[in-house]
Amino acid sequence: MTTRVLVVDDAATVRLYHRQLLSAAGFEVAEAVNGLDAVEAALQTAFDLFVVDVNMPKMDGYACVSALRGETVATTAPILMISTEDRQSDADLAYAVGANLYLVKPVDGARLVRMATMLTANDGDGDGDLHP
Amino acid sequence: MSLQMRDRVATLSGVLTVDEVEPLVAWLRATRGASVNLRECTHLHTGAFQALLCFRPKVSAAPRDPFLAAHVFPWLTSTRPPPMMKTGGDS
Amino acid sequence: MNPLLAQFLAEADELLTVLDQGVLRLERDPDNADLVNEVFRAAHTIKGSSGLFDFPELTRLVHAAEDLLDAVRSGQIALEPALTDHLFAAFDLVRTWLGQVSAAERLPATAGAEGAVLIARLRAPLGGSGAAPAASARTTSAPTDVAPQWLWSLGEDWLHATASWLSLTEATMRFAHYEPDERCFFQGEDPLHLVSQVPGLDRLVPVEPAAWPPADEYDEYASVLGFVLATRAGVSELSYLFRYVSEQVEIVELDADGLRRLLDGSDEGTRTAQGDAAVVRDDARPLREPADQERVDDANTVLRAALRTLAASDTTGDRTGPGDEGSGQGESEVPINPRVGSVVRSVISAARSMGCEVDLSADASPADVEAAIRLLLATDVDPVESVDTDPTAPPAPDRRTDGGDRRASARGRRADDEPAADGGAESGRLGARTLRVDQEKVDLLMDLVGELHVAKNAMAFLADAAEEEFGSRVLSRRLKDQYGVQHRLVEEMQAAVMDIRMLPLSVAFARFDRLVRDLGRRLDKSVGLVTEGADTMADKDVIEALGDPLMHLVRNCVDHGLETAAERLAAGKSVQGTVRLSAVSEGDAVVIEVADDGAGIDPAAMRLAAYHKGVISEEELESLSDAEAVNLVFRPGFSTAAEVSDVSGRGVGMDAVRASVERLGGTVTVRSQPGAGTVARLRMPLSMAVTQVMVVSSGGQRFGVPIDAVVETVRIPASDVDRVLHQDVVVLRDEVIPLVDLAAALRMDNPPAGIALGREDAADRRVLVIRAGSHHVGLLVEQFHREVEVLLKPMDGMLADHPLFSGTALLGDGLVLLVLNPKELFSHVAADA
Repeated sequence: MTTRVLVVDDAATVRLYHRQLLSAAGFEVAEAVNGLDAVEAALQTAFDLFVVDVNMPKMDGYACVSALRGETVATTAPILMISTEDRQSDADLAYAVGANLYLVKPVDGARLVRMATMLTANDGDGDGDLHP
Repeated sequence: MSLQMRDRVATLSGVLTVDEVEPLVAWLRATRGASVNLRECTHLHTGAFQALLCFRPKVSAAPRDPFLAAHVFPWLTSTRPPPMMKTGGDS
Repeated sequence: MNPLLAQFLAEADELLTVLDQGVLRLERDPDNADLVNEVFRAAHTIKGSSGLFDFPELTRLVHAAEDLLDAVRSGQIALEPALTDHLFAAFDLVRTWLGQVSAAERLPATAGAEGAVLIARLRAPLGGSGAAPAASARTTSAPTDVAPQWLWSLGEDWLHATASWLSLTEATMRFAHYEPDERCFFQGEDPLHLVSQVPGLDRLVPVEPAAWPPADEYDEYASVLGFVLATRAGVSELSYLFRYVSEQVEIVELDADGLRRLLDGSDEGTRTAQGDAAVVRDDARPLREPADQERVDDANTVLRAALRTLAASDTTGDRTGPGDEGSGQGESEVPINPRVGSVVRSVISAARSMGCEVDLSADASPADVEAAIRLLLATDVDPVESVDTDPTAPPAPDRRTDGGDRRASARGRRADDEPAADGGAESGRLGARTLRVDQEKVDLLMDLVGELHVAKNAMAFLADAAEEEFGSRVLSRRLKDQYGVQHRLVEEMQAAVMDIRMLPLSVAFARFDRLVRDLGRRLDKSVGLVTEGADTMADKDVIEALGDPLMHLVRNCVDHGLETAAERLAAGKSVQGTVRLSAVSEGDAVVIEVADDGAGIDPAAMRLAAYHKGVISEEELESLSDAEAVNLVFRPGFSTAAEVSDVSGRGVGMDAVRASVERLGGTVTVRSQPGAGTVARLRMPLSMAVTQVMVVSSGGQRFGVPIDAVVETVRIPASDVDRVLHQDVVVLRDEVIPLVDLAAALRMDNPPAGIALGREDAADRRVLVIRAGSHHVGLLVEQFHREVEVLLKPMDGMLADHPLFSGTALLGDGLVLLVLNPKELFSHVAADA
């Protein structure tokens, strides 16, 4: 069973970079160029993981994650936020809107893959139960 | 009392002084599958920290002490040597 | 060309166009917030994407432009024409560089120098970073320091994150490398304690030796750990803290660029060394962390992040979200809070990667989830202050305030340990160091001190003789003065030797863990042992002698004291019983308690049983208080166990415990609360070596009475002696004190005429009032002599285990003194009466 990741970033280079990394690690990668785009994609497809940039036009990462966790999408899939800011307040906000992990750019590729793998390590059926 | 050693578990509490390093090491040497409980430990003598790094017993309970929890405990939880080896002394 | 690089070049080109146009428009319309945002974002994106490649000079330059635009965006500075010139110049340079990159896939060698000029101009309006000066040997403080290679110990990810943080805040940070001397434990140093006192500690990494020796060659006395740390504390603070080990510590102060140079130098790349700074490129590479360390770190990161998500989410009700975002909010119909649900998933994932399974469902309450996380983290981090973006950068803890002096002086090892490998010839500088000394040598020293005591006491006799036999008062006085001086010196010397012989009670307690467990198993009882105060010190002899009594008491606790699991359950107690061993110092004594939380002793049952066994009289049955009744367990031949189990030993009662404790000069009592447990309390002298005794004579012989037991010496007129119930008594300070004729009690023949009670009513009686348990007893003696210190030796030969004597001692004048055991004497007499 494939694990679907939505990479949300306005920078094409970063999207490509993440796509390369995650595809190589066996994820099925889809892309969104901003928060709105991401919410629309999430309504179409049940993703197992979101990798969301913070600083984006139209709808930034915080609003995007907020919407993904809100009633519209209400996803319980893990959300990994990536930002160039490592201010405490930025991280706090990320966690407040419902991110599961906040990483600071430049994210080491191997680490991103490790985290993505770890966050999707359960069976991805979304009910949180474990099947021994 | 700061060092209590049982069959497989040693409980360290309060301040573990230099005097307790030797019994602790003797115990670590002799005990297979040892684990240590650090919950109530407030300070480890360096000799004890060193011994824990060398013998790598399991840590059955993490220290509550903020310093130990933040800066000592993380190095005791891997089953392999931590990342860095001494690089050549350059200064 | 690598498609990622191609993508970057194309994207950067577009963004540079956005930047050029945006900055131009900004000059005309400086208050256009959207425009400022757009320009800032473009710079931000170039910077972020460039970070994926090995173009540090480009990243630094764009970063400087981005920071400037950020300051404009936040209204900190106005975009003046001079600044836009710098910005345009920077964009042009970036464009030039990108052209080079598309041709050669790397930046020109001059990039560093070219960029540095522009970076300085762009950063000028933002204010430079001030650096604290430093003054210390081997301490450098210019933020432009070359970053030493030992910084790699801090971890590459951490260094990256810190570098971007430092550049963001324009700040510097102090780093220290501390390599304690291998022999530092002998100086009483504790390097870990020292680094724990570093204020504002951000990260601490122990540097282990390249390879640990095999277990049997590991030398616990050699300090082989180094430390690398990062702190917000100033250089001067650090220098002061490490002032005693300054030659073992290197301190540097670095800013973001300093760190970046180190990081860039490590990048895999085909670049040649840049001529931009005095960067010494080194082949040293950070070693990758081993996979499982990484996995644990990662899992911890995820778990800590989960704590923060939980803490940040409004999970008290069913509302989700902070409410500061205008997007959809959760409603009460939503059965599962998506935030909590996602946290559950991430926690399960993290736990799996650590090899643990947690039992959580998606609709678990936040409290349950938090409990599970804390269990997995096994630590009590406060989620709000907890870690952040980087697992390896935990929050700096508060400065420790518990100023306990941890620099314990290294005490000698016990001599019965294996001798030192190097023959014990360990030399250090000043300060505490350890010498291993053979036990025999210490014992010899102790004996010699004891003999010295006795020899010194001879001077007192000599002083008396000087006056009485030789009629020289002056000489007598001088001898007494001299005696006083020697007395003090010998006292001090004795204390010093005693100190060497002191051992912690943990030595005596050590074997009980196992004993309790085994006994519990054999008796099918669940028992836990708790020890307290095991670091209390007492003389080696006391500790050794305590072994058997303690063993017996502990056995009694498990065997008789604690109930079976079924009985405990019925009584509403925990199934597991507890045996508690505790020790505290009390002046010259150590008090040891052996307690259990078992059924306790029923005093009424004790009284009856004792009466039936003929241990007590009918009179005592009526008069004994509950506390006294409980202490009947110590009466010879008394056993409360309904059947003799193999554990406590057939026929051995608590009377044996009491006998051996009292032979050591100690006391033992029992108190009990029916239903709640029993406590046996032993009070032992800290040392048994030298005892003060009062010398008295009776029946023409001299005896010693331990001074501890002596209440007072009185002379009373014979007419004051009354007889009550066949017992001579005397009333002293409203207390009726039974009198015992020592000579009679000891069955001594031929008491000198006129001594026996009631013979010579005219003569005064000399009474030595002693304490026996809780009673006072008057010993009728012939003569009081002096108090002397004697080396008490246990009775041996024919008199060994004679209950009336606790030992023998050699007096200064060569006579052997029998030292009485007051308590035994009393019960012996009471039994006779």
